[in-house]
Amino acid sequence: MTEFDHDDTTWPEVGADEVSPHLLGTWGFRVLAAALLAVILASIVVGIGAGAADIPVSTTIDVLLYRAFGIGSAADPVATQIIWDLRTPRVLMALAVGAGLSVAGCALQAMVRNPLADPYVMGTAEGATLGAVAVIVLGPAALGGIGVSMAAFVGAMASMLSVFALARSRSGYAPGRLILSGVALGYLFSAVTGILQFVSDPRELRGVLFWLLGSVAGTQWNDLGLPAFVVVASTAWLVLLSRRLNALALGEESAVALGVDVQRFRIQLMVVTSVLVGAVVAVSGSIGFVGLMVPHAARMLVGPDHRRVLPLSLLLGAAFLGSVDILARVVAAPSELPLGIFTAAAGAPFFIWLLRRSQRQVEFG
Amino acid sequence: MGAPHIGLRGEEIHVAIDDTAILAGCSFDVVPGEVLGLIGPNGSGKSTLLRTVYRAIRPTTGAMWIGEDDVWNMTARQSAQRTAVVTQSASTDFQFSVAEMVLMGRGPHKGLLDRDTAHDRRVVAWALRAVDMTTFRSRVFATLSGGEKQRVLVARALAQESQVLVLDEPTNHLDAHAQLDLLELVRSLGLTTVVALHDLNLAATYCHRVCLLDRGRVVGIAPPRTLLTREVLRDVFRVDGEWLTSPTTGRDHLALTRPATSTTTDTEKP
Repeated sequence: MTEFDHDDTTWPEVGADEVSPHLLGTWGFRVLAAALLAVILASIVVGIGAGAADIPVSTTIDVLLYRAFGIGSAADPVATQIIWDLRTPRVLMALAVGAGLSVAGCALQAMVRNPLADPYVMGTAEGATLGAVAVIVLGPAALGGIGVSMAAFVGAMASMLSVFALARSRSGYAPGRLILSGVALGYLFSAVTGILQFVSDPRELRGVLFWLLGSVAGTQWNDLGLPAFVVVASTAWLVLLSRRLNALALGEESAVALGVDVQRFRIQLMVVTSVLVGAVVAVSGSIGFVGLMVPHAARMLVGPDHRRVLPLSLLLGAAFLGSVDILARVVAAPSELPLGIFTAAAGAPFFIWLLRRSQRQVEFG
Repeated sequence: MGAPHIGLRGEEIHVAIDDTAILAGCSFDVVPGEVLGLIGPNGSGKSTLLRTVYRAIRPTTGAMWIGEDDVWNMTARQSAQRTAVVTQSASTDFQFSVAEMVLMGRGPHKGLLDRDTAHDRRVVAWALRAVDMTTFRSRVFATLSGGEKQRVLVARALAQESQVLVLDEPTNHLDAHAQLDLLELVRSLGLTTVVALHDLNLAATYCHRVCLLDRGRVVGIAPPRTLLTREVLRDVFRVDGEWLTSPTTGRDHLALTRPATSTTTDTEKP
């Protein structure tokens, strides 16, 4: 009984799927992914139409088809400029930011083995914000000539390293200590960011403040390349390593037992997550709770296997923030509200619900 | 599991953490197919020695051999193909199903681009059957009892198809029935096994031989009844012990009592 006969094909197959306690199996996952893609496409078209200048859906589709794929003919130049130069980049940026924050949240939650983690709870985004604001307020020259994105990455990485250094104990990293260190450092970074705002030029302050509340307004095509590439590349890398992420989610000892070089893998994860958070925060500012809610929703749907959770988080995150961005422009039109207000309004109650639920599990588990 | 005919050998294992010696030259061997119990008081270095077997702690000096291969000359993945570990009851907030947990045992055999194959799923079925947990395959791991969780972790270890099985105090937090049940299962597997145990009677019942550690040194390796003499029990565990034979099962049991001469000042070890 203790040796599997490799020629014996009479054994039934027991996969993760055949009998699954999760809401959706393989086919459910595929259908959901297809549905989310449709939602994302719809949010692009609707998102481009929404705003101060009302543009009919048919014009939007005509311009998109012509500029992106060369299908059809050129529409009127004003509509083309509004649609293609002003609105398309920002709509795509909202998708990239939502996807990036969600995937980063996924990686962080596995890394610290705690479903309460996200780039903001862990202080990673606050570190990135501090880096970015420092460059905006003090000028690139004060920080050795690095740009906003690079400064955001450096801030994110510095924050991540400090959180892990603070939470380290003889018996490894306790998930609770990691979260607490992250929260504490997040406040510290926010305080320093506050000081920088206080000393900054009033002309810069307005920009900093709007950016701090989170927005993708004013996105140019040039801004889109880096974050979009980083989001796609890091998600692909994480999906390839999702077996290791699964093992790490069970704890350091389990991961070692399953053949994961934990120290090396953790450093790789820190770098990738920092790049991801840095790239996204540098272009969008503070948009909290997306990285917390989306991975959690994904796990409730398909279970915790990262081979499904990561792609689903990418799609869910994009669909969610794409929709929020539309809402932010429609609710108080013609003026625009920061995205962070909406994600916080949805996210804070969600966080409290999650906290109470995990407490109950501890008490009665 | 691959060839059950491969043994494990530790040679002069030293481990120092922050200049404190945890292990001071431990040598031991596990004969192919044998269950070796690792026993010793708290802080004697049982867990540390086990962790040097599955690469969680690198020995300061010394070598660990699986068959002819040095564990510390392998990659983490190669090591996991040879050694499977049942850690102290894993708890997780992530709602993995039992089948998903066992499937993770296939991880060390998988490259980055490999998908789960029909073969992997058959190994999972076989491993679940071996620990008698087939009917639990669609349950959420986190909701199982302690004993059920340990059986699933043994199934995961079996799915790894490795040559050596390591268990670190697997009976902690289990009730009496689950403790006997689990060790009965481990013994029945017939694998080359090292298991750290607190309970001397469990070690005596289920291990072919026991390796006694005290303050980072190996006191001796022998069958339980031979090794655990009145003198050893008094010196190492500071208890009086006496072997009794059960009139019904004919098995030997250790009856332990606190020495009458012991005073509170004795409880601090030098």
